[in-house]
Amino acid sequence: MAYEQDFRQLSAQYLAQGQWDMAYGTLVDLWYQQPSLATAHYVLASYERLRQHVPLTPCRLALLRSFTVEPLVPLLQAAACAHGIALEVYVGAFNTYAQDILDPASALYRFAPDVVLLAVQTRDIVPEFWSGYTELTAEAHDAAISRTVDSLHTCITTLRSRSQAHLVVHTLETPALPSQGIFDQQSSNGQVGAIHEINAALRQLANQQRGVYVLDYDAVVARYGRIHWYDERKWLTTRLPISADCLVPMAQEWLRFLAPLTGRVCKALVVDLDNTLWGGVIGEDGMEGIQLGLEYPGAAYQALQRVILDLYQRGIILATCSKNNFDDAMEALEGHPGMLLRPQHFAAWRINWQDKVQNLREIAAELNIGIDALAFLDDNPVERAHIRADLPEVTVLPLPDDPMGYAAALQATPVFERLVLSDEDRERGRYYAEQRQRVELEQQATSLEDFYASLKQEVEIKLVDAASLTRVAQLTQKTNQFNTTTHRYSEQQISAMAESPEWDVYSVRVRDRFGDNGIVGVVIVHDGEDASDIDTFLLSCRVISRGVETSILSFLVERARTRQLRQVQGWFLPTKKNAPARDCYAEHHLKALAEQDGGTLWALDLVTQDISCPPWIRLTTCEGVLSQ
Amino acid sequence: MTTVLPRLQRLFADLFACSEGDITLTTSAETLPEWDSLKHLQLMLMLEEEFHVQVSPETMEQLTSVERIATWLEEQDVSTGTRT
Repeated sequence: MAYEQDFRQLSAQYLAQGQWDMAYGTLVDLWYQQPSLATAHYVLASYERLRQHVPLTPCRLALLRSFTVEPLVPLLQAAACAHGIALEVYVGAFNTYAQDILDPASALYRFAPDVVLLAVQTRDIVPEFWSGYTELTAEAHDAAISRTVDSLHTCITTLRSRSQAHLVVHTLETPALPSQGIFDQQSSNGQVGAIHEINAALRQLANQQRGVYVLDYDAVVARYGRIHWYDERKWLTTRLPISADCLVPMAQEWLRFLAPLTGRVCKALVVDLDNTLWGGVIGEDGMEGIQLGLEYPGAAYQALQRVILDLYQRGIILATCSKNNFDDAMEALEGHPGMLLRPQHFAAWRINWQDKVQNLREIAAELNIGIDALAFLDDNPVERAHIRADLPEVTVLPLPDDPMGYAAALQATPVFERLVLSDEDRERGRYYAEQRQRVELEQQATSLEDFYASLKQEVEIKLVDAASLTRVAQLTQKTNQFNTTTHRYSEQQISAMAESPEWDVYSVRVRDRFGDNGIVGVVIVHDGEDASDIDTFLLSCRVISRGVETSILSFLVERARTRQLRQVQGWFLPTKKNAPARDCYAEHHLKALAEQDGGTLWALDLVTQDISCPPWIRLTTCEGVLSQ
Repeated sequence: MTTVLPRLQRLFADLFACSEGDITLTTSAETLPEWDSLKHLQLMLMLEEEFHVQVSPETMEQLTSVERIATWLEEQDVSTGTRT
């Protein structure tokens, strides 16, 4: 408690002194220390005073609901604020979600939300499945299901057709005690089963639509305990069904969706070793002395490793940063029987006695990702505070004092949440491990040309299709560095462009002797009367500067020629992060045509100029332009 | 009441974005114009969260001043309760 008071006093001091970044950082600490209604109001009032100095990622959320959600709004806003999101919230009128969605002139659409959350309870949308279930006839039962599914279908498809906003829909929750008692589970027409049937239909509806995601409210209620979750008296008097203790968990669950929807996520996890991946200190306790295995207390560390390995399987890049003798640490990583994580899972390591700030900077550089794409996991609160103070871009993950809580703490963080998981995501950990081998080869090769030739690169350019749509949209949203215009597109927008005759959207896949990098590039072209305009040209950093850019431009040139166009042109719009793409057009001899708001329009005259594919790249394209 | 009042002052200061010194035992829904029904619900939830108590609908209707809240909390024997 004294510690918490410190954060309050500290943030007030920083505010008074005009130290805005420190004040914001302290508010974040305060929120993680004590997430509560009181803290939420305090954090929001304090943030109001510094918001113009510490801009966060803006997001407009429309909350459509069948119950009282107002007390949840400040909690969600405070949780979002601590997560770097400035959330503006529109709350739909009580139980008017259907009208809000169906009326094209409603306040919902005027609000122009980025995200719409549809939170409807079983007892509101299908009350006969909540109480009095035993009185239902078979016909009434079937009718209730189809009525509810139809109603959800209408809401979802109507919203989808009128708004580009992402839509998050709650599943319907099941009662703690079904009307048929213990028999409900085995009954062929059980109450719980009937609600599950609606939820299954809802999942199917979401899968058929772009940008519609299901939040399993039923599972959230179960996670915290059905009986504990509800406060029946508050429901009856204020229409707030959720008990005071469960308001924070509800807000946190919403945030797990807002984090990936606003791009506030991390690409890599950097872990400490001693007392984080195992108990004890390897340099002192040795292989036999450290705690790691199936038994208590080593099980806590193995459970954490299991969660980290799951993240790796989901495409999170792993790195380690530890103050240790390299050989001691490697002996454990390679040989300890309790280890689930092995050296091949890590894309980078800094096992030395250097300052961790320097190590984290080097890891980000080595992986070719922004420093803000790193999340840092360390048992030592001093190291955590050090990183938070000196590298505020890094997400420092909170850990409890008790190692038995480590695994759950890591699972609870929203920074690794993804709304979709493409095949590329699943393979990413392996790509980065292979990247280490590529770097080793580059160091052995005598010339760059030799190295490129030895890579045996293949570039495949295809029009976007159903299989690549998710990945292509994801790349436009996530690629910051080699990205000429940084235009962000949702799946819905990519899909609309792909169908339009004026636009072509291409995916770029790159393979080499170490493996398939998957789809790592996107090009979006708009053809005018005499020029072909490159709206988007982006590449993942793991393939740039090996001639892949040149091969893509050679394709665009060839493509424009077959369409009798005279020019290929494209804007470079500078951002804080896209310096790697800045010189690309100039290096390929495009000429600066115009400047506007800091951006430059580059053009290549097809009558006098050309770009050819590098000889070491095998290029395959959907237009049949082949080069060897 | 002496032990509960400072904690109540802080809760009120958070909720109404005012200073703790503005809140006294005589502060009530009549003297504080921002204290509407929605703020009242939030206040009751904050009491439940901070003091680990249950506020019944009947009690909720009556807790319309700082003094009433403090007295009621004392009756619930929360004065020794510590925040977690």
